[in-house]
Amino acid sequence: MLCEACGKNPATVHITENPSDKENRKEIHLCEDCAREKGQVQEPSLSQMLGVLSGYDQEAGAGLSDLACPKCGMTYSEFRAGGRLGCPEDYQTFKQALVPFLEKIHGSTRHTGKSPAHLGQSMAVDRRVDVLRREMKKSIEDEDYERAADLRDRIRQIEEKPDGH
Amino acid sequence: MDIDRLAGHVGEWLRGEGDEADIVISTRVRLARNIDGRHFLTKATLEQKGEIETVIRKRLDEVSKSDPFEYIPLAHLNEVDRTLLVERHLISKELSEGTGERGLALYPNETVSIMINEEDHLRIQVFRSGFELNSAWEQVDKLDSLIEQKLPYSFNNHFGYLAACPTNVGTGLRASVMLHLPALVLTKQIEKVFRAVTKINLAVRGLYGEGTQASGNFYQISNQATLGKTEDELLRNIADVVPQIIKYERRARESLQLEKEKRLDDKVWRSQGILKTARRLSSSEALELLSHLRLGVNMGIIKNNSLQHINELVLFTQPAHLQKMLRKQLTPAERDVARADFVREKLGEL
Repeated sequence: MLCEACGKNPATVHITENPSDKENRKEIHLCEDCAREKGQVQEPSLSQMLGVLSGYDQEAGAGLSDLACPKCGMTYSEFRAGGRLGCPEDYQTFKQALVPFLEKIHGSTRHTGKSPAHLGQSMAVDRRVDVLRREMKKSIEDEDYERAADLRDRIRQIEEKPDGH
Repeated sequence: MDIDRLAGHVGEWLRGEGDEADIVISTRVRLARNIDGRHFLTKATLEQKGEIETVIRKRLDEVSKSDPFEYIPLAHLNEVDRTLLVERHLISKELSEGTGERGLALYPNETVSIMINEEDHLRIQVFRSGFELNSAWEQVDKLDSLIEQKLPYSFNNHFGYLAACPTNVGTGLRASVMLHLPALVLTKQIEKVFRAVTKINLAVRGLYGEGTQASGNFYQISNQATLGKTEDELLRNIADVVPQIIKYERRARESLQLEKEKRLDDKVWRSQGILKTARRLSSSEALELLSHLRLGVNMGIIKNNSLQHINELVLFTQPAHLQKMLRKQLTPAERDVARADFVREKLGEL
């Protein structure tokens, strides 16, 4: 995509004007130079940049910067700066900030995939039901009620007789 | 393991075979896993890193008794050897340049590579030539389950498999398909394709993955999200999109072939001309020209060459492979001369 202002350079800065106003929302695509000229690019600090790039929710993380994991010592601000966690426990310690972030990048916060064999059947059933529920919801949105009813029956069946196929 | 043994041939997945191999170079599926009860590497001391490496190595030996891994400890390997492994996509740049004990467990035919102590304790990867998502997934899934029996992973009921970076949590799965899309680039339609691809939550990356520039018209399409969808759903998303891109690329090739201006023929023959006569070639120029030659072979314009041969040239003209083959260290300027000599010799051989 080329810059909408100069028409020469590739557009690398994408700005949404009035993002919350559906009728007047407008997307503008500019190259770095034109964006700077229009005052749309201010040199950000490194930490700001990392924050923006990684999409960590400022609000959700507010007041957490001194929070530290009792297991590995990782602090929230350290995590924000490096983008990586220190130990499995951090997923609990920083849950409050992580959940909106996970929602943003994965569109979900709940695992529905493979699980360790030793956790057994019940977890696999939970997940299978989760997947079917999601498919059912989508079928309802698509107004495919026949499929939705079919999925509902399958969910019922699994919940009643988890090990039957 | 003898790194020199690798240098003289291409890995099985670069053989130019498999489904849609004229456009899809290769398929890779990887899982990010961490051992239960240990810190992630971000917070592991050098000593702990050493322990993790030892444990994993031992368990992998037990898992692969009938089908043994070759193990390459990376901490004491020189830079050219490490770069050679990066050029073969067996390890990442990050692992190559890391610190402390870390390693690579490898099947001799290079279809399975496990990176140890990269960003996560384990990165289990399976490679295939061509478009082979299902068979790659089946193999990685099976191997992962075998390893898990010996080495319990860090797993959480809600978030799934826990990874050092929250962008990998959940399934820990990243599937990527490497595509050669020269006609979409030549007809300036590539941007349009990428916009469509990123809209459905897939990522487009260059030849060497994250943060690398696309070069030689090679692009990797991979899933962005790893959480909230099953492995099947994630793979299906890519499996649905790639055939569309292949169709666009084929259509672009057809329209180029019909052009009266003969842009395509000109591009291909010029590229071959330069490759056969140049006295200096940088790696990026060589890649660009080889990319057009590859297109020429696929379109039947160049008849006395093969995909496998060009795949070989793409790999062997990379800096570390070149130095390994010539058995000496070369400066970048010396490499450009050596690369041109090598390519002339190889294309003259035909």
